[in-house]
Amino acid sequence: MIFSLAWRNVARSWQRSLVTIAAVATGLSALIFLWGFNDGVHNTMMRNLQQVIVGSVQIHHADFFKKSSLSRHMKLTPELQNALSKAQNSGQVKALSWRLETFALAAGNDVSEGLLLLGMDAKSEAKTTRIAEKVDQGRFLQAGDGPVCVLGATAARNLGVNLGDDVIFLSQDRFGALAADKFKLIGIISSGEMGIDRGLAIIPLNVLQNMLEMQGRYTRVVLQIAPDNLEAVTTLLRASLNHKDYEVLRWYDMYPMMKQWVDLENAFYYIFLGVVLLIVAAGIMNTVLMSMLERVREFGVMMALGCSRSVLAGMVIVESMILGALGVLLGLLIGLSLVAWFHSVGIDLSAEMDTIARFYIDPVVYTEIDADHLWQTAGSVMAAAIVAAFVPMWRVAKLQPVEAIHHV
Amino acid sequence: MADDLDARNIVQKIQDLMRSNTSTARYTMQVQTPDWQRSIRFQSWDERIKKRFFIRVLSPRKEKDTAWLKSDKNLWMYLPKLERDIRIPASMMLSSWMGSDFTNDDLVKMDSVVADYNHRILSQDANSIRIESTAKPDAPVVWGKIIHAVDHNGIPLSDDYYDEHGMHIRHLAFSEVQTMDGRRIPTLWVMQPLNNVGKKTLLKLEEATFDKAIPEYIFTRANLRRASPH
Repeated sequence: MIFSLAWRNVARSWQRSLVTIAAVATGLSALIFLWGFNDGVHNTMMRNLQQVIVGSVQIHHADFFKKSSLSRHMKLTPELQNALSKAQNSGQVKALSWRLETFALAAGNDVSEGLLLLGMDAKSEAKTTRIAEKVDQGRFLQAGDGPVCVLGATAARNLGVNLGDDVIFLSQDRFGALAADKFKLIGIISSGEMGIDRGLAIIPLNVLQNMLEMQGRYTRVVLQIAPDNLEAVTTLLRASLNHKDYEVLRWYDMYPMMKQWVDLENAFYYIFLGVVLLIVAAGIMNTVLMSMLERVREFGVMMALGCSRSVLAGMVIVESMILGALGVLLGLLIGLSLVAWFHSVGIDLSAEMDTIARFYIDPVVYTEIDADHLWQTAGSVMAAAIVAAFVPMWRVAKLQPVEAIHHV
Repeated sequence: MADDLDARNIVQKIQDLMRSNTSTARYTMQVQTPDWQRSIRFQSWDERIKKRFFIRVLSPRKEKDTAWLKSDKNLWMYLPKLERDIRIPASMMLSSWMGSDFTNDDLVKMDSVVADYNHRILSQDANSIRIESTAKPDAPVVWGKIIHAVDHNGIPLSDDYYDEHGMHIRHLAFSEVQTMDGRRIPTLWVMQPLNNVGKKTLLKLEEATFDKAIPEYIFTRANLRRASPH
């Protein structure tokens, strides 16, 4: 009975109800769209970091990440092989690659500079990361390459070398002996990320292994994993590898800055969400309170006819819930349509973006929304609609039948 | 902090003893780590007054004729395999020299030990004098403090290196005093890094001559490319 009464009240003054529903829907759809933009930017940033070079999870010799040295290397032991097979058989690992790295002195035309010398296997790296896409002059490594190298754009400029020039890399092999060789520059990377552009040289994995007397030895295994499977694979790998010999690190264990940044920005969004919720709640309260004040006389008559205060109060709450639910439904429809639309066409911000940000944020933002953000927002708006009915409900509950009937 | 003249003289005398105005020497360097050991023989030409030196590796075969030249504050390295010389940039100064526990900086900054530090006598007993050398403010040095121990004949016993936070980084011990070209000097230097106890570098002085004129051509980039006669 309460519901049908409430529904009739909502339907009776449909214009006012429509205004409330529209207010709720506008607030919610705006929030959904903003989350869509926010999540779109954040998820792209996190994807870029993982997909361009870092990977989702890396396996190293224990303590390698903090204190890297050639003595902290890995071989494909049965233990490691077993752990990787388990992870791959779970179907949650998209691809993996093996790398070897060391510090080296690079010498170009009369200039020399220290940088990170990274050995990559062209074939497996192509499946695992998108570093090859960041080459904007020349080409990336290919299977079967000999002594060739790919340099970051800033490093190449500092060394004064161009495509086709020789670059000398000087390092120490596994036994501390001098290891030096000449490499032809075949590609220049321009990623927008300073660490890559200024401090990185990439050469074929097998060439670096021979140069450093590190045949069959690696310093990193890089795995590409979908965000939803990240924790499961990490747990699985950690369970099957002795932590005294290996470390399994997620991208945000290695580079916590970005995750912290995302968390901070999300915190701002929650504050923003709170403000919008207040406005939505005030709008609903206004409508419900107005419609209640208009009907004071009506309530008095109902009470005189024996309708209890709790029924009346329930009716006011249910009215508000109906308005809230309709508003949320409409808001979801509009908000998700907006997110879906801009997910396909994108929002072009290239004019506002400098090159530094280019590595992490694409110039065209494609909106997307995380499920938890969506349900949190819709739920909060719905809750706000209900909370907004408390004041009118409290006023109704205090009405005296005689006074109410005489109310104009 | 005031510079103690006695202390400064002692540090100066160590330099005079070990390096004179000019010296040529042959060393065997042994690097010991838990994983590997290696041994390198090299010849050095040192002209302290003009702040230049030249080093050429004699063995092993893989590194033979690799050479270093310090001149005009630049450090050059020559790679015989690639027939190229490379200037070692300032950013690589703290890198290990030939896989040892000595750094490029040890080669380049040898002569600043007296000038860039304030010296004072820390303690004295029957066997030794300990001198604390603290880096002068703004001096272009990597160490915050060096503590030299020297015996009463002016023969160095050890050097302890501390970083600018006072952390003890490495210990260099001198031993096996012998007579070389008419002077008594320690012929075994052992460098022990304290953050890597399993590793150390032994530098054995095999032969040395002091205060003989060194031909000018030695300290040229052209000399880098010249193969050793050995």
